[in-house]
Amino acid sequence: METDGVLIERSARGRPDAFVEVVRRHEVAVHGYLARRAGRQAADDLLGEVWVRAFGGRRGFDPAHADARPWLYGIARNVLRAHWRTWRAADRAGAVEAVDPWDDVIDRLDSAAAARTREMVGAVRALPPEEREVLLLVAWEQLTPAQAALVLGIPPGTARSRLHRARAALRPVVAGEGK
Amino acid sequence: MTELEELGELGELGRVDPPAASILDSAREVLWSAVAAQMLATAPPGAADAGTARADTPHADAAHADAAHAGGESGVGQATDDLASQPRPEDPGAP
Repeated sequence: METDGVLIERSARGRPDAFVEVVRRHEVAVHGYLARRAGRQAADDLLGEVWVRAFGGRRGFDPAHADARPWLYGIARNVLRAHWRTWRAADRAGAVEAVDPWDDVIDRLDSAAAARTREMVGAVRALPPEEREVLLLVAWEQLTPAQAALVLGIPPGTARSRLHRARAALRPVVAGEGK
Repeated sequence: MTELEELGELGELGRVDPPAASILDSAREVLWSAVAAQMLATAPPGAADAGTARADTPHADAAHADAAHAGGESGVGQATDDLASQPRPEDPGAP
């Protein structure tokens, strides 16, 4: 099977249809990434925008990377940030926005959360956003710390140390020692 | 892996149902529109006249055909020119 890198490179060399196979491989995963962070409706609305941006930026993809997921998640992250900026600007009539995707996740999870889940959610929410992002890319998207670093545009060592700190903070909750 | 086991409970919180096929199809349609627009913009001058008649939505058509092949061959290996020269099929969704 051809790698994502091969297909994306081909799509950049006059075969844009090759990009569709990349879309097919990752469309459920990218939709899940969006849905976990912004809810299902927003994911439905934004998925096409991710593909258009990815297609437009495909020449910037390093074909040496066999798996395009980290790159696509990075694009999806930017689409989400733009979405939140627009949404909050409209909602607050021009107030200075503080983009915190976790607010949306909390809204989604709280509806069906049990007490322990709430405790876990609270612990994750209390994490610094940069640690939380790495943690969720590993726990939710099943990325390695190195792949999470690609998504966020940070050195792999930084991603590993952020993950380490996040796990240390969550450990009491996981072990049932919270509160 | 210990690390993932430790994160397993958190991972459960991130479980979402997969999207409906129609959602994925719609997103691909958006992509194909962008692809078609780019191809029209970069088409050689000689192809302009012929392209006007046939290239309005050739890739949207291909995406329709693609969508009908869920789980099967994607048609990705088909040359772009081949896609563009395909006769426009009846849109099954058209009134």
